[in-house]
Amino acid sequence: MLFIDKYRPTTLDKLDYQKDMAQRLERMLDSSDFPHLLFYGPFGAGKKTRVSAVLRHVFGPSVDKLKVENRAIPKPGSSGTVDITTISSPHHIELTPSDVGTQDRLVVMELIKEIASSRPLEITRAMGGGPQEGEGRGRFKVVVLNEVDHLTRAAQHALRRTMERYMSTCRLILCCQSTSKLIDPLKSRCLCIRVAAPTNDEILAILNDVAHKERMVLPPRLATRIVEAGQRNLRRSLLMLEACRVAKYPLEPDQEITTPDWERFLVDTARGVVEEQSAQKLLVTRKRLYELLVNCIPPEVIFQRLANELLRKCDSELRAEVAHWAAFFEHRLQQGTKPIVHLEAFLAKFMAIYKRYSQRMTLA
Amino acid sequence: MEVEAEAGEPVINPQQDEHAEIEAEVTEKKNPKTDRLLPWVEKFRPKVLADVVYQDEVISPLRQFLQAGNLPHLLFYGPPGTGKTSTILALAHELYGPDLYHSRVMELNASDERGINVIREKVKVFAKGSVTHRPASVPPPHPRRRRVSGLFSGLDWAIAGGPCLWGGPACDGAPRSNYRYPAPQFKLIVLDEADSLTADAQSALRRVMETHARVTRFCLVCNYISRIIEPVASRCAKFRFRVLPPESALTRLRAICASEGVQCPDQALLRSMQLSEGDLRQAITLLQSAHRLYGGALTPEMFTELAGVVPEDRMGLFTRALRSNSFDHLQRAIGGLLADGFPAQQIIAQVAPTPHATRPTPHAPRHDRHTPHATVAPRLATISSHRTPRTAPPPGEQLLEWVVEDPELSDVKKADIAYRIAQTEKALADGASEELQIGALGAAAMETICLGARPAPGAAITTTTTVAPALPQPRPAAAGAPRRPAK
Repeated sequence: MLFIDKYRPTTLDKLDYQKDMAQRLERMLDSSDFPHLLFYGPFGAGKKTRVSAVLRHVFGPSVDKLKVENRAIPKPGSSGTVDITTISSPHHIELTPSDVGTQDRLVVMELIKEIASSRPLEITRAMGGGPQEGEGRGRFKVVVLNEVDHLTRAAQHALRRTMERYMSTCRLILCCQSTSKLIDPLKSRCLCIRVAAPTNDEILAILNDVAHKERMVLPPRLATRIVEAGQRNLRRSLLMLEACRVAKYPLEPDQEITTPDWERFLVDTARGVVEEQSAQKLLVTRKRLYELLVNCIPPEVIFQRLANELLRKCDSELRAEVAHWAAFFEHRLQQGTKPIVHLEAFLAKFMAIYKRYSQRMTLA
Repeated sequence: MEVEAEAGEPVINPQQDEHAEIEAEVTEKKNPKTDRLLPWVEKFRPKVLADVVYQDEVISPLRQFLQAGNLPHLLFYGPPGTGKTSTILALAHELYGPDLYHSRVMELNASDERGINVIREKVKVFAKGSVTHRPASVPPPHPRRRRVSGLFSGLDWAIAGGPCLWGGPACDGAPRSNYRYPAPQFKLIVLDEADSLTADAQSALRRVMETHARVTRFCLVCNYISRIIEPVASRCAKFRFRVLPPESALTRLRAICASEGVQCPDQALLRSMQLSEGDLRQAITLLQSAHRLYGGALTPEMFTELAGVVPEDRMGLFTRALRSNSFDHLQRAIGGLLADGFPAQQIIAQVAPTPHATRPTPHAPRHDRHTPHATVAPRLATISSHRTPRTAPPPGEQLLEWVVEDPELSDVKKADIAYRIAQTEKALADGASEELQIGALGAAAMETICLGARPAPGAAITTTTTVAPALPQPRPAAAGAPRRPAK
């Protein structure tokens, strides 16, 4: 079992950081009812951990009896169906509507309506499943929707009224990275909970804690280096710690921290672009970009990392301009359909800027 | 009631889920316990027109329609949370009463399938159906009555006959003389969130609205009237719902607090209205969330925290970085903000003042003189200036405000930054990466701000790249402004 799963806090009071919020959540859940919730925060900040802790707090251990289901939703007006995988327990159902791409509106409309329009059996009370017997417990189901920021506008609009209408039988818990892409009506219907990424100190404490529980000696210097490489992402940091242990044990302070190969590959690509600016180089880079895309690295991620690397490597006077073009081409990438074109355009632009600058510098 | 239901259903052919909905509502009535589980927004939704807050210009004509028992087609538009849906639902309830409501009113919103087919099939069929249809078991109305109603055809009869004379269930075969609702002889179709109807669907509506005007009225509810095609809009009486100034909703919020036993001082309520920018629904949700989450007596600070507003000191860090002319500094500030989960939209919203007089900052009063809503602003200022105590003046807590008020910056620079903010907002709405967008905005703003401050070697280069030869297309959205040399 991986560290991230093994040491994932299971209840609200065991959470390692943002204890204030956890306590308040607990208070609210104890009052037997809660509004729709929206958890937002960056990757690896612990959104899902909080969601499952909330569910466990409300429904007790029976939420762990999970089953995976494939549901087929008939398309109206044609014979086809939309298939979506759901994970469900007697009390809740979890799905990622954006998995089905542009058909997500259908999922939101039909599936959630179907789930929400029937009243759940009051099994919690009968079986004594809940940790505390409360009036409202088990009176409603919970639908957990992941990645709601990837929902299409149409799907978000479809959610609006559904959320209000079936409030008495159903609560939604939404998870997303940022609320920027959510329409206001959705935000105003939820209690929005910001899950900030843990600070470096908090991550350090958790790493030491895990190491202690695993009975391994974690040199302080290595710990600090892992925290820095982890970029305030707890999941990443813990995975790195585990990778270090696999690579070499006992741990050494200056041991190499393994990063994913695609990241190293990207860093190399960026270095290449800074070293040489020519049409030939662009062709070479194109091959590398294709390789990344073929390996299912999302183009947004490639863009982000590439831009960060180039910004780090180029001269401080160029940064504002590079940042501008990175934002410009990334925007186009989102609107367009062929990611490779925009990635290349950005690299070509970067080469042009960089070359002009270095020529000017040599002239001067 | 039962006869009515039987009479109604074959005609109106309600959709499948309508059944479920009716059942759900019936069970809700039976089970008062679930009442507690309703969100306050639903629980305290205005039941009658008189309960709707602030929209007097809309309510008084509607009341006249109600007295006459007749309606034109309606088009409600206005920002979210101003009471559009509540008004039409309250109106429908006052028109038809509980017995007839479900058979006469059809509500369609964005959660229902609403392509052109739905307009053709569901809406048209519902609109076509006559309200006087009776099953064979019910005797026809009195001949004299029929004759009289024959005299006044179509729309006029309801006005001529007045409310209770021929309207109501009496004509539907379920004689009941004491039905106290006007219950006019037409049905009502509410198309909620109509701006998400496709243009095709709207075109399909045009003729349907005219041909079935005798037996059906439409009410379109939308946020943006510009998204409703002109032919449809011109068939409706338009009603604009205004943004609620904070104090107007205070009574309503107080009433909710009283009935739910929430201890909340007025200044906290005002803050919740300010934070939600006149959206009463959001204010009520905030109130409920704060009550659930914190319990006890509520303070304005709790609302500020709940609304996800970036705290002043964090914004201060960002704006100071903008002045520092150090890209690393800026990147760190932005990285920190995003890692703490603050959404980019919020950062921008706080960087740029919102067009409403009530902005999501605790310091709205100070900036009110800049906002276009001059009528609202002074009132707000008088109300809240002595209630929200100002802490230390935040240095550049609002980028654009700060830029506008900064005497050192030229007008060109100010315009540049405003332009960049608009661009970034658009790109974010299109789903572009937050980090890159905010980074670019910050870099451009920093460059503009610091350009005159010290000899910037990068400036010469950046100005030459206005039109990049690599991309010959003119790109008004990209190049121009930030690269423009500031004079």
